[in-house]
Amino acid sequence: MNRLENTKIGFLRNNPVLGLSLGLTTALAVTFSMTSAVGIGVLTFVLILAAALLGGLVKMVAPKEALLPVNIILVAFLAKIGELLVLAYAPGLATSVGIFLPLLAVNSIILYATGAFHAEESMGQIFADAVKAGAAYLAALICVSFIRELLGTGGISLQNPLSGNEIFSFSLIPSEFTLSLFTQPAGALLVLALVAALFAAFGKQDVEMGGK
Amino acid sequence: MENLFPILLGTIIINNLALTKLVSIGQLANFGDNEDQTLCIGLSAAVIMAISNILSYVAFTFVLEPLNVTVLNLLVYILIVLLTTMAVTGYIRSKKPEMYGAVGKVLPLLAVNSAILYLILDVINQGMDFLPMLITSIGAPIGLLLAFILYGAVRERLAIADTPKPFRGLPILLIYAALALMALSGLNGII
Repeated sequence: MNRLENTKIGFLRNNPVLGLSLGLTTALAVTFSMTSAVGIGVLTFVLILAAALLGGLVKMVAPKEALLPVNIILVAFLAKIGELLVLAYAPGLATSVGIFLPLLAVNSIILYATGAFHAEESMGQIFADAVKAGAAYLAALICVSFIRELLGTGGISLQNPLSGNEIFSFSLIPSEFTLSLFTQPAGALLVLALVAALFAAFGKQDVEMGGK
Repeated sequence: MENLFPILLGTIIINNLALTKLVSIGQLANFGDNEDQTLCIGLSAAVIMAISNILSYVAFTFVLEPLNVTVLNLLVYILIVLLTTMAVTGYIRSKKPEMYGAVGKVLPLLAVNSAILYLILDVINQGMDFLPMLITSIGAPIGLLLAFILYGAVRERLAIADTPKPFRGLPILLIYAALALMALSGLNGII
């Protein structure tokens, strides 16, 4: 995590989840269907914006050594609010994601957005970084979930997480030829690895050897 | 007594949190530059996991539930994990200053290790009794330590491997994780 201090977030190069492994747990667990990926992605985006705002305010009063612990508690507080909102307004999403909804409290991308790793930067800079990171995270989640749902179930069926109405759906692969592996955890790791390699190839990213 | 051994074996290998439940991979893939550092971080994570799981169970059963304030659960668990992490970090700083110089920056981040919070939430969701919870708090940290050592070894081997350029770094480790997960799923049903 040391290298986060002088890395700029981008979409292809240094994508927060595919290049820097921020918030990997959520990205792996919720991408089994596009509906849950979009739902949790948007929720994470909103939490990131709130975290960036509150993190900037906390920075004005908290001493530099206590910045990380204070921000961790702040993220837990935001995640609890997010969990309660989802339970109230999108119970279907909460059931399909299960335990990974409260686990947003330890999502490192929200912690990154609070500015805990950039003690010197100004509030505006942190907010701009956070918006970029959140958008790149949402884009990566949508890419991964699209491939997983297409290969795993043969088609895409995107629903509105709030009302449950279908937004659009299509079916491409006949059901005899689908690979259910891709909706399971091992498929999540494989697809995320392939998408990360694809992004790295297009972004001409120079990753250090050995995954450091 | 005979049903406690399967819990221990299951949490160490078959239902190993970090290897089968998709949690904590970001930290496993990044923390520690060599064997000693990985071992130090893994041991710290295991100790934090064991202590905070027992404390969170006690806090939930004897404080949150009787007072009917379970809505505060996440804040209380995170606070417990954070305080345990600070205690372990302080212990390493005083006993092994040279090791603290190398891993001191990443140790506080173990407080946001998702495997630790996953275990706490899972144990309480299942409504476990005290003894199975105690066995789980022994087995799961050993499993986490095992995962840290495995990933550390794989990263050292990959550092000298001729990986295709786009796959260098995180992607090849994720493929390793997928293979490990598929291999472990072959053990399902033993217990």
